[in-house]
Amino acid sequence: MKIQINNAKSISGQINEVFNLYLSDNTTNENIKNIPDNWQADTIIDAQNNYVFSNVTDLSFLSNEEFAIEKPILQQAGNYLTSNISYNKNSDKSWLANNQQHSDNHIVLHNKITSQDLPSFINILNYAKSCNKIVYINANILNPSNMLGDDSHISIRLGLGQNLSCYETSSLFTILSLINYVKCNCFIYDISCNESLDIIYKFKKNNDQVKFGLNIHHLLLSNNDLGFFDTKYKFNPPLRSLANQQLLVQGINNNLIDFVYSGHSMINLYDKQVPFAQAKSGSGSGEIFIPLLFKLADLHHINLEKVLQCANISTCLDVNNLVIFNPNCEWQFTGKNINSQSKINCFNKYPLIGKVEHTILKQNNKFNLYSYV
Amino acid sequence: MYLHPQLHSKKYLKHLLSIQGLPQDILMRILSLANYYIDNNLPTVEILKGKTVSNLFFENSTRTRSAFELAAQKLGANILSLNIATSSSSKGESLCDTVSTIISMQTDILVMRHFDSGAPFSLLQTVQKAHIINAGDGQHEHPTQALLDMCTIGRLKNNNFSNLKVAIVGDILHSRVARSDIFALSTLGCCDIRLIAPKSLLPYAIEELGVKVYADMKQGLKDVDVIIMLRLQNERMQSGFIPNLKEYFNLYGLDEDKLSYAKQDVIIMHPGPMNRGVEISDEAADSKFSVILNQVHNGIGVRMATMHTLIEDEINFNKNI
Repeated sequence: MKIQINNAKSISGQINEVFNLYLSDNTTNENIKNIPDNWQADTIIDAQNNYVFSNVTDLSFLSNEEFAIEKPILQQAGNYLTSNISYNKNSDKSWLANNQQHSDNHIVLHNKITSQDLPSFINILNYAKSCNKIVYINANILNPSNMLGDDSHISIRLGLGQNLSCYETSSLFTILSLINYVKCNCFIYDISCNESLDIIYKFKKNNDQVKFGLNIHHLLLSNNDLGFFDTKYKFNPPLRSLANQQLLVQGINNNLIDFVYSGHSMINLYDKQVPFAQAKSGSGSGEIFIPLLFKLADLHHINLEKVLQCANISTCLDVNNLVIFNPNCEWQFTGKNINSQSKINCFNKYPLIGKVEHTILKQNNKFNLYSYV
Repeated sequence: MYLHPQLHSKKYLKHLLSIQGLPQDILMRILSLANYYIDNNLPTVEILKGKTVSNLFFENSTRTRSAFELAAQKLGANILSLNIATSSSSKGESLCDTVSTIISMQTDILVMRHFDSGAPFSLLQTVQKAHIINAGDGQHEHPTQALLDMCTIGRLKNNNFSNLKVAIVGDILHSRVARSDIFALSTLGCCDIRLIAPKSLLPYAIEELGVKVYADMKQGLKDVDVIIMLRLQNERMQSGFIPNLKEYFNLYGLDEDKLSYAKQDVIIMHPGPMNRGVEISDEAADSKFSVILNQVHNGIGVRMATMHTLIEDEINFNKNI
């Protein structure tokens, strides 16, 4: 398929530069802007001066089955949490179950562990270092608490056990002490409390091998959203106060937080229509990740390019997947906007900025165009 | 303004889910009706004739369950009490499905106790036509216990809540009664609510609810009018909270010595079941100050008043729309 995109704009570089793109099945990044000889496009899209992003895709047009297939692309967008759990606590000699295998470049640890597991934990870090793998570690991996509330009066009112911020900081401190000892590359995700930023600040002064990330929910939502046990807002770690949210935003501005991800979870209606304690944590949100990022930048007055960079969205053009994004519309998200059957979404009726108008995916070396204008 | 899901409107009650969010006039209305029933020796009336009250208890209960059954009986209702141990819930049926089944048996009032905080709130979509009464949900609230506590205090202290000093002593962290009592006392204008417990048995930042916190029992009990003792909720404790029971009793158990710091006409309350020798001594529990059995008696009147109010408010709300 040959696709021609006219009047596209990139968010970086020369901000007002408008260009055309030419995509055919053998297109490379180098010739994307050069018109090939004897070019005859199958489809011409007028981008109308809207942005083109790559390294991310919008999945709202996909059904549930297709959605599962596209998970790796979502991961590229920064959602590392859908990766397989790789740490097997039941074995004392290895950390992988026999039928499991590490991915090429990373090891994911997000099971809870205890101090008894620390020797194995160091072994994993040492192994990762020798194989040049990145270890993904949940910041709360050593947090013993399964409590559902934060440390505010809202949790007291609702009678939710308190998952205190000091549990997260003590877990993070221990993890960083071990990493400092081994010196391996790590990505620590699910930072949720501002107290953790002090620890990160001190660590980053002398180390650059660790990157830190947090879930976009913790930047846009707060414990006020819990209302009367609204299971849509059940997250682990829990949503914290608005003041905490503001300080986490400062963490992005101060380069303490390197990544923001969608934290997308596949949640069925049934998973949330149960008492709060029994409800699954998490929410869908991968479908509206880019509009959420624009909202984040707008709401907290953060530089947009910085936000996109944190979300690992490339403003350079990568022909494997592209989206054309119209930043000039404001709308409310509802479950009706997406084809996914995972309709439970904590951003239901949330005001968003910008919409993906076209997605171009390279699947099996062929371009496919999905338009929804 | 956001309307609490337990209300039809600011004036009318639809469910009783929590004391937090219960307007003062509705609370006073229930207490006044309860006093009427208690003053008239819990008479048999037929307010609920032809209606069905279903008791659904996912946790053990003696007082609350019996009080609801008696109250429903006195109001002329049919009573369905489900034994969870032999119900489909024990075969893995979801709470929503269990409740849907009971509601389809023409239940008008569903009395539910559940081990998860907020469980009754998760049923609001399922239960459209019946009324839910929360008989205790996890660590969240136990509204009818708070109502009967307020009823007992009001009757013995001339409803003069604004001048009362009330101490709640013991395992505040895990207690749904403590939360409901704090909200009820605040709603009724009590300005001196004291929580007495070691820090390990208090939620972090509890002061934000407008209460005073004391670690020393003698200081906390100084000149109080009401003492509400709480038991250690062992079934909700996930780790060690106290060194041992003996030391806990020495520091936080109510005995005659500590009682002497309170006012001369203090009343001692306890939601039960009591653990004598742990949070309260025999002497204190059986003293002339103890009103624990009055609480149990008043509990029936309060539950009659609650069910009466729900049915009456439904009629009045429908009249006014």
